[in-house]
Amino acid sequence: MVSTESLFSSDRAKEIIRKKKVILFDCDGVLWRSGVGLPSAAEFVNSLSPTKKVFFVTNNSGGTPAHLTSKLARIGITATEDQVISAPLVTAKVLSARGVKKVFLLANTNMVSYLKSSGIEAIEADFSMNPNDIDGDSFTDPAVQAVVAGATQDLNYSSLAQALQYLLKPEVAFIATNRDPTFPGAHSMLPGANTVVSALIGCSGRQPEVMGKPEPFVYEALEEMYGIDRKDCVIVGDRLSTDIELAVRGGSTSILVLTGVTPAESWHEMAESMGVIPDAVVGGVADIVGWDVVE
Amino acid sequence: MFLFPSYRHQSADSIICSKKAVLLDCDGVLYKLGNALEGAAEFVESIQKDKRVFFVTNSSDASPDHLVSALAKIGITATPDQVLSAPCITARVLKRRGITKVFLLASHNMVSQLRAEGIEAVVPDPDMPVDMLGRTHFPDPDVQAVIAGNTTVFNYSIIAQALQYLVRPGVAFIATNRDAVYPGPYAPLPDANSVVAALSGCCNGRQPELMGKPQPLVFDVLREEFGIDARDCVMIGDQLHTDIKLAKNGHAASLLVLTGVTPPSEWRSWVKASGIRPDAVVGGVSDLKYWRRTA
Repeated sequence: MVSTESLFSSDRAKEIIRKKKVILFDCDGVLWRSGVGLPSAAEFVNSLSPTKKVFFVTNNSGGTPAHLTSKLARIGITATEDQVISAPLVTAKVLSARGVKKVFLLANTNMVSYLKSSGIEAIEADFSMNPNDIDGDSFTDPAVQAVVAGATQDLNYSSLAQALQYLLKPEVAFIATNRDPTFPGAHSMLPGANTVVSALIGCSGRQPEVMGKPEPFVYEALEEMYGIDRKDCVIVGDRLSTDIELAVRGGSTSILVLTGVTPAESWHEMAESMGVIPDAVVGGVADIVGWDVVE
Repeated sequence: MFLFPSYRHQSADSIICSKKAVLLDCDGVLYKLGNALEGAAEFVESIQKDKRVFFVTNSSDASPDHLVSALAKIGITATPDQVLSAPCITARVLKRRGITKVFLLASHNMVSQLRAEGIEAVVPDPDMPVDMLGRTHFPDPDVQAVIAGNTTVFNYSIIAQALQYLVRPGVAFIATNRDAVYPGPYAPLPDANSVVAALSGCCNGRQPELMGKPQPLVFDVLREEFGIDARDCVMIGDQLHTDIKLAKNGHAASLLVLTGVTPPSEWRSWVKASGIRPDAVVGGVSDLKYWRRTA
């Protein structure tokens, strides 16, 4: 049996890249950090085409696919919008496939247009409403079929109280785009989607159905849109609980990089205590450059 | 064989007779939606004659003076030192531990309660832009604990500010209470547990130390400040998971009333499902007005 520490090997990681047809990248902490491109990220990603299929799988709901491709372009990575698989996109596709037509949104306002293009109307909270004016009997719109919660900085007590009224109705579904606890802000770690989702769990007592990593809806979206088989995929990510867990659960392969949220000094302890073991570990994507050169 | 607690007044009356101190929850026991419950004033007056009486509530909205006024409005005479609310317990316990400075995500009237125990409370600015965190705004190194409770001044910025403290080693995470909702004027509204869960959700699931019901810290205060032993107490409340569980945790007697959260039609199934068995069950405090006759 392979010891966890021995997984730290750029040769091992390069071998995986050679074998797999589809490479799924997390972005934050893998290709960039705090808005600055990581060493050799562009070189590595650009070396993968045309032989491999590349997708950018992100739980980040802060931007549209166009935002993400611009950001990638700024650090020298050529990508098109259809290579972006975000938690908001997956959420919209899954809900649309289920016939959902109207939702109450406690997530980034960008999601309104995502949902709209999937035929779903999203209503948002009235942040200035006095919560004491919420009338339990008449407040909720009976056409709303789900509460969709995700990362947003537009969160206040009133919006939480309004979402609660919908969650008190058992027929209304509770959907979370993702449950990342934090994301890297400009100068500090900032609360992520899990803050909003947990606040709703805390007052409603209900558990959400999660759409983004590490749940398998990402694979379903890839299969449905592009005919991708999850067994042909390798995920390159920095977070054990989302990126690597996605691979473990879905039966695909994973490479953990240490340029993001997982600390270099304790990755093997964290992996072992969580029971989430990557197939290879490298310092950064720079260590996998030259994968196509076999000695 | 599961034996239901006796639903007879006599058993409840003899419990009250035998105890030196009566601990009363307020909402759903003495009043409901601002209106006095039947027999509340008479019952409290009758026990105040020979017993020590305390008001043990998780509500963080009321300062002791505020609660005393609210009780006076429904004919109940009380003094501030009879109020042992979750914020009061929090302030006393933290003082005993030598805490002198905290970061407060709870009701603003806790500031004066904490100050009375020699603890300075830093109150977050809800309008602080989050990109200042780590750039121009840094956590106060003297803050020893983050206190979470119910606050309607709740938004993304204050959660982000609290996160800066919770990731510092040695900073304690304290919750006044973990009630999920409280009865608003026209609808249930989020209570402290949404604030606690939001913080826990961005801190990798870190759990707080709970000060209020059902944690039995109130019995430490009763013993140390009033010389009263838990076994000489009976807790009268309407909620199994807070009031009755508190009594179980502290080895005090417990009496469930059905004028609040626990409905008359459901109490048996809720007791069975939760495994939390009160020593006696009565319709309301009005059923206890003849307790003296068993003496």
